[in-house]
Amino acid sequence: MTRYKCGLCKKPVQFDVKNIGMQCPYCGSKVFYKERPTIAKRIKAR
Amino acid sequence: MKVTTLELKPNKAVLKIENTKPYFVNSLRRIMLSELPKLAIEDVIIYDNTTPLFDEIIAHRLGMIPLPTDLKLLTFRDQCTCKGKGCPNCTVRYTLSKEGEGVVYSGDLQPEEKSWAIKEDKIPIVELTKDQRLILEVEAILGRGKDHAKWQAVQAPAYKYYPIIEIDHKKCDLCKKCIEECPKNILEIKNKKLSVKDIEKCTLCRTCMDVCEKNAITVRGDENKFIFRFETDGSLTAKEALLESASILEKKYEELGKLLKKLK
Repeated sequence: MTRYKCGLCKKPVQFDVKNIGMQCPYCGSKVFYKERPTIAKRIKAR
Repeated sequence: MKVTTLELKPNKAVLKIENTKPYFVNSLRRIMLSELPKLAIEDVIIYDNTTPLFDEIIAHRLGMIPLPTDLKLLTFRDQCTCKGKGCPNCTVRYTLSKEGEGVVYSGDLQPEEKSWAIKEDKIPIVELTKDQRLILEVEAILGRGKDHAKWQAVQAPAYKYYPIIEIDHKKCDLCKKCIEECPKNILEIKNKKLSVKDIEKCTLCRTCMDVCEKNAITVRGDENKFIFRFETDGSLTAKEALLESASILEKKYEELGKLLKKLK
């Protein structure tokens, strides 16, 4: 299961990666943002 | 060699260097550009970034911020006793944590010790709207301009020949054409004679020579005398940058001397 944030109602939702036809259970929106993983990301300032 | 200071500000210097050759002044200029060490952000550890800019763009913007550099306190990371792990002798750490609305400025980077606080604290990094946030940690290390422009402490170091303007008063008919045409306005008529107001402002453009129909003016550069000017980005003062560059150049000449002796 992967965590997403609904683009319309901003509520967190979970879907299987293989899921086809994702829809928000709260508002019915089909636009989602994938949430950033909580691990630290190390990059070079170049 | 004789060096005279014409202008010395914290971030800018203009020098007059006499009795030398272009190769020496040029080597000093090149040392300033590529060999002079400076502190700059190298590693960025991003914990959260919900801003419109990508992590890499923010990291690049952070890298270009001029950080105050004390060359006596720091060593290069690859030469440090910690063997590149990052200790207080070779690494300066800053943290940044800000939530919108507002603009994240360079001054929001909080150093571990107050002495490393950023002087240029109004450089914008990213603009945050409501509920956007940026949480990160950075590691700054010493580096040289030849590795990346972020480690280039001196901007636009340049030299020019000291101008020599010769006026033949017998030929000059005081037509004032040269005075009107000079882009730097350095010519004037004083006591019914054409004279130069401020010779150091002359850019050797030779416009006065071209407009003079009587060929009364000759402009040339003195090949043994130079005006050398440079500015720093604020990480080092102009005086520190000059002294450090001179000592690096001295060490390089010494090294070359030792190698040449071995050849014999």
